[in-house]
Amino acid sequence: MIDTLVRTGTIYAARSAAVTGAPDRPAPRPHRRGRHHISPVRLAAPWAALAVALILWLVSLPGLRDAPVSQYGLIAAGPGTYPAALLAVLVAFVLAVRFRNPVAAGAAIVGLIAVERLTTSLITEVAPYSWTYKHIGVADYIQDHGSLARGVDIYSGWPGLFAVTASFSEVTGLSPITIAHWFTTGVHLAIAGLVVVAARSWGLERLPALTAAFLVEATNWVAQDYFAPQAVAFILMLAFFAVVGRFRNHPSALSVVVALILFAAIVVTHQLTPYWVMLATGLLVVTRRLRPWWILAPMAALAGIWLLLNWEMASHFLFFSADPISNAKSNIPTLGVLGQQVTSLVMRSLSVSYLMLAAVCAVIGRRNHAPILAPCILAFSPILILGGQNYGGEAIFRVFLYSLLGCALLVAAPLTAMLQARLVRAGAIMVILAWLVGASAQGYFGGWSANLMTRQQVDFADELLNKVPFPSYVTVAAPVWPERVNGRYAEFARFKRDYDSPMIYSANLVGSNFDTEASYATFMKLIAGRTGGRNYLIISEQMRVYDWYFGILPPRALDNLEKRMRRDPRWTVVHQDEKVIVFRAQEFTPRRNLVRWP
Amino acid sequence: MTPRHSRAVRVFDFVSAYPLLVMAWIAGISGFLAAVEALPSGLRALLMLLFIVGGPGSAVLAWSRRPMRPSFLLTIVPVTGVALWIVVVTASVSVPWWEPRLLMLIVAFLTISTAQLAAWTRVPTPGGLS
Repeated sequence: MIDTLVRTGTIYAARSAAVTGAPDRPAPRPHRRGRHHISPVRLAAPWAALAVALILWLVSLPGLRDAPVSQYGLIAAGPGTYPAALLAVLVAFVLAVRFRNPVAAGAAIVGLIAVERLTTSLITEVAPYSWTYKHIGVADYIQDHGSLARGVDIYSGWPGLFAVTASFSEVTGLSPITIAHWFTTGVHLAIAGLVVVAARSWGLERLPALTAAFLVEATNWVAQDYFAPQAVAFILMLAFFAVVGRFRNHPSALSVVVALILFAAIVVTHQLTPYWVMLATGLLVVTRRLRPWWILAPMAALAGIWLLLNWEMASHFLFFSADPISNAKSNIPTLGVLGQQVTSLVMRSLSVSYLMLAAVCAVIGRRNHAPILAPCILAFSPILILGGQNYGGEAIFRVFLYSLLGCALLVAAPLTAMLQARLVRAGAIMVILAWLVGASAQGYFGGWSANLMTRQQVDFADELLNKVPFPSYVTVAAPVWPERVNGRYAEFARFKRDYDSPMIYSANLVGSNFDTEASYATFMKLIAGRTGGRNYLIISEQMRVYDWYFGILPPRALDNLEKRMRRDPRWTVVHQDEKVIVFRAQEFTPRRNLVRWP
Repeated sequence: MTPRHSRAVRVFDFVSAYPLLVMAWIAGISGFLAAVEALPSGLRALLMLLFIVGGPGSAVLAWSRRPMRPSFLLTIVPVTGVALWIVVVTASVSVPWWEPRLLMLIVAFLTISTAQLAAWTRVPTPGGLS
């Protein structure tokens, strides 16, 4: 008998479970009728919904790739099969939870990541968001020089992601632009896996833990998942709370070491995340939800030493403010087109409604004597950031991002129970989930047309930065442009820190239509003041879309500016194609700063 | 009489008892291979990725005295590896000492030797690694 078990591997499987410490599998939940029978329809239903979702998604891809510019974003501009695919993924997940099928639930989460996040990589030539390319420039500089561009910008003080990318590119020959293009999907797969483990560490059962991961993925509209330090810091933060949560009652030396390794990586990667992690850890320690208390000492030492080492750079970029209302404002102060306003309203409503849902679930959990204090700390402590920091207008986005884990921990268990309850309740939860998924997708894709970058644009920006003589001002007329796309940016930034600052910001011309001599004269006065190097000015089609979408400039403003510059003999066109025009100004010296005033 | 599949069973037994050591060896060797410039870029990228997500984290967690869920290990090992790699590379570039290929070879060697040392000093018992 034993021989048979050995040959079939049964004994080894049992020993393996003992060695790895895997808990005994719970007995299958009895069927309502008292049998262990599972209907084949129930078993197949989530998979069928997932298959439908994947087919709809694959059918949508060509239409999404060719979607026209729209103020309402990709979902409105793309084919109707795309939102249908998102809905089908949601149905697959709901069915999987309702029929207690964790494998199908996990597959639905992967399906959601594919449909919502992988899509971006599949339908674009290069990563979206112009500010991605600032990060690529830092990695490129490290690769070229083998050192940090200290004193140039804040990125050199927190170079974790950039140094790793540079080393990866150096060893493998893969360009940072390619890495950035596929980065988002990897980030979301890591987030989903880590949320499941963190949720299990903080006491959730398997199915609610999967629900937590689905919730984090479904509600993460913040788009802090592009090639950026905060994306990596968010992953490390989830792993940190998974480790300290798993060993919160019986910490070992190794668990503390692993937590500190994760924290050290956060410290060298991102400026804000370590301080919130310390704040949340401190609150968990004070409320006796986390041990050992002394972990705060090495954490504070790591964060403090790193801040002191980079104080010269950090001091330029600290945005302390005790006004929470002001701190909650975003970094785009202008009022955009109707589509942008609708998307903004949807995002705000989603954030508020999700935080309120988490609060309601916390109250329900409290009544049911569930342990809610730790999840509440993780969910609501990020709001404290608004008490002291506006983080360059990005604090509000970080608050929602950091609160995702805690909110999911609070919401997941009651939501799972409701999905398994009577059909009416499950239907109501389905409607709430549909709102969360739909609103989040609108928030994520609402600014699609404005944020899109093309390979041609990125290649040209790279070529331009390599070719322009040093010193020069390589300036965009208005946002948005893939600035600082390669390591040469540091040379120019050492010459003038804001050598590429958008002209309309430097000249206070936001909202100007450039239809008067006065506005053009103000513009030229600024150009003439930029001495010591050549002035290059870039106008692109993408700028027209971005500035129209966010209400930064009137629709005809850049056309008017271009016409005036073409007429002005002080400007020469040095490059022109369908999408981009580059002007070069005559060299201004302090003696020739004579600008005609109307 | 020795069972017919005894070698395969012994391998299975070893992998079950020392999963992190095996992972550290595989990842460490991947790290060595990723440094071979003759290999295609895409393959080197996969090998280096395997090294980062599988190696350093396995070497650290191989010292665990506590049993851990496989799902926990599967998720935490890669992130610990990435975190360690971030710290090491950041330290290297801050010095500055920029030799990414050599650095990877050193870390790959340390990964294998640390995990091997952990396996020698930790004997698996039915209650987990102790």
